[in-house]
Amino acid sequence: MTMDIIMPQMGESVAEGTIIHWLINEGDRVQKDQPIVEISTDKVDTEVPSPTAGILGKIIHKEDETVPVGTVIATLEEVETGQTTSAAKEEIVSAKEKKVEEKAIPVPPRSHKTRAEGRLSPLVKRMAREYRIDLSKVTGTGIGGRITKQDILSYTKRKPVYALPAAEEGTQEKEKIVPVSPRRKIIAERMVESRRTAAHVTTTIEADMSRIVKFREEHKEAFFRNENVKLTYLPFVMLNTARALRQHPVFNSSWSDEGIILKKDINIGIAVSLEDGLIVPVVNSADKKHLEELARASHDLAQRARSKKLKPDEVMGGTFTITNYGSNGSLFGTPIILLPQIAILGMGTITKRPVVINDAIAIRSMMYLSLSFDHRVVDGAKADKFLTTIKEGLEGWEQGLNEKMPPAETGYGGVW
Amino acid sequence: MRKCLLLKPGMVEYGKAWQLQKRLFTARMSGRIEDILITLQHPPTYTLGRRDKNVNHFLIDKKQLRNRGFSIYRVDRGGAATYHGPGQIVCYPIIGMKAFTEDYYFYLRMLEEVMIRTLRDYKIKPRRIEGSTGVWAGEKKVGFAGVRIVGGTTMHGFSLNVNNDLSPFDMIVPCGIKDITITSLSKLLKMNIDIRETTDLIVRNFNNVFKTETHIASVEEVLERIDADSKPAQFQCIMQ
Repeated sequence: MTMDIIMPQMGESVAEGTIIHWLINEGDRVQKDQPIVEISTDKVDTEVPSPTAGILGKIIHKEDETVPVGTVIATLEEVETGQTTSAAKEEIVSAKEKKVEEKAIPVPPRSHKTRAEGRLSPLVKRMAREYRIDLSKVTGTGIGGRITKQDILSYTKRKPVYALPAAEEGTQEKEKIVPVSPRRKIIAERMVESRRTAAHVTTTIEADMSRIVKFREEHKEAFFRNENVKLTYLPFVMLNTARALRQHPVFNSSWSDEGIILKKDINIGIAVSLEDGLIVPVVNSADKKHLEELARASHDLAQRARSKKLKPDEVMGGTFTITNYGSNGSLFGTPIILLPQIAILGMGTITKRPVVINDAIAIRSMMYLSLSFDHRVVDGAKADKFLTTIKEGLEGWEQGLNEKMPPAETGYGGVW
Repeated sequence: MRKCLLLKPGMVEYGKAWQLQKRLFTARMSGRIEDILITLQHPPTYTLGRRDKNVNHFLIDKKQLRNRGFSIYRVDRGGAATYHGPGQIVCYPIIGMKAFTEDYYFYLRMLEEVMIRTLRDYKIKPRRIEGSTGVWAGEKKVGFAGVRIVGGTTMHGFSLNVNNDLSPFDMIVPCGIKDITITSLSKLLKMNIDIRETTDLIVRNFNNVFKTETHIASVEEVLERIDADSKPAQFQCIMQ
């Protein structure tokens, strides 16, 4: 698809802009949001970012030209990402031709179908039957418009095949395009980016939450009365994760080409699901907060995330993330790391399960903890030790509500 | 109140300050740092915008100016030629503009407003001239603005003549306006002004206009913070 690059409206009172410098040449490939051209007005310099990934078509206005706002200054050929320039170009051309072709050849009328069917090879007939294809919808490219095997194959590639006859019979559209929200798009980009960048590995461990379940049962009502905040399991896991991060600082880091960047602050992001996606507000210095503070902070952030009242800096600066899919009943997952962090902890649902303790079967409240980590930065053994530290903290829970962790300066294990 | 870091590095060579601006601009754009306001002074320097490349803004030979100790830079801001020198306050807000306005020119009006309020604090009657960015007292120009805005992040900014030597303006066509007269606060008030006092007023008025709360910080600590987080903080979304 061809898009126009226009001289942007930089302000109500500004009527024109000068092209200072084309940052890319005609035929060059650009990424979405990559600056294409530098422009300037009497008082403002700016860059025009590419509205989409594509190839710069024609530059209509050259450098040093001053044009009114809204003028088309260049054209951009939109392409799918992941192709080399020349290949992508060809793709565009062929895609265009294909479109023209499709338009030029009208759908064969129904009467035509019977005529065509008479000239079908047994192979094509069988394929049509197997794939449940309405042959009147297939354009034949063989002699005299005859449908060939190749036509069937390319048709099946274009259209998804519905195995169930019921789906075939419906006269309504078989597909519907739902527009994607900007948040959804960002999530999509970030997820793929993370998968592509980090070497994802997920390891799972089981923690006996019985003590914490008991503690929570005893305290939740009083806590709600005093704080007007529901005491969930998340702050317990946060507290023990923050503690474990101090002992294993490599999980509180980023990968860089120069080396692993250990972060001084332990800022734990919590994944909050929204109507149209997820957002991860951050509890700063989580290791310096006691359970009550963590419960309040996470509750407050989650509330405001849902009412869209988070401030921009409240979703930034996270050094580690916890996602609680257990609240939806999931046992365990394989979460995707939030770059530039190197690990993410997933909490499964807490269920009573029979477990063997000292060769006797007992009923305990169990939870699976999954840790996805970046294998570029750490190996499995370290990850399992880190998870074990969290597990031991949870299983050995005997703290009061207000007990804080010792400050880092006392040499609790942090190295920086 | 939005938090805004305030950097006051004092007298800084233009090129060095420009480099600093660019680093902070990149960091601001990727969300690695909060809004920043830099206030400083430059040694005698001429700067030119990138438009009107073929127009000569100088009334005397550039070589001569260089020999006399003036630096000359062509920079990535809008606007034509201007002069910076000791006794002039230069302010570079590196901020996410979209929190305040979407209109680039309204942003310029906001910068003017900061200077206008500061002049009013000195009981000077400032004014704007329609279609010509800047702040004027009568027919004389005292405040200047020129910016670069990319993706809603700003750099460069405004300068206000306090008690600087005005004669270097005579060697150029300031702002591309012929027969313009330039003045300064001390010339308007016929007294010497303490530039530190004016700086404090500008910061206060900036906070009032932009509804920010400035926190003083050192350049070193800000750069350290950016370097410590050399990968851009991303919009934080994850999926199970």
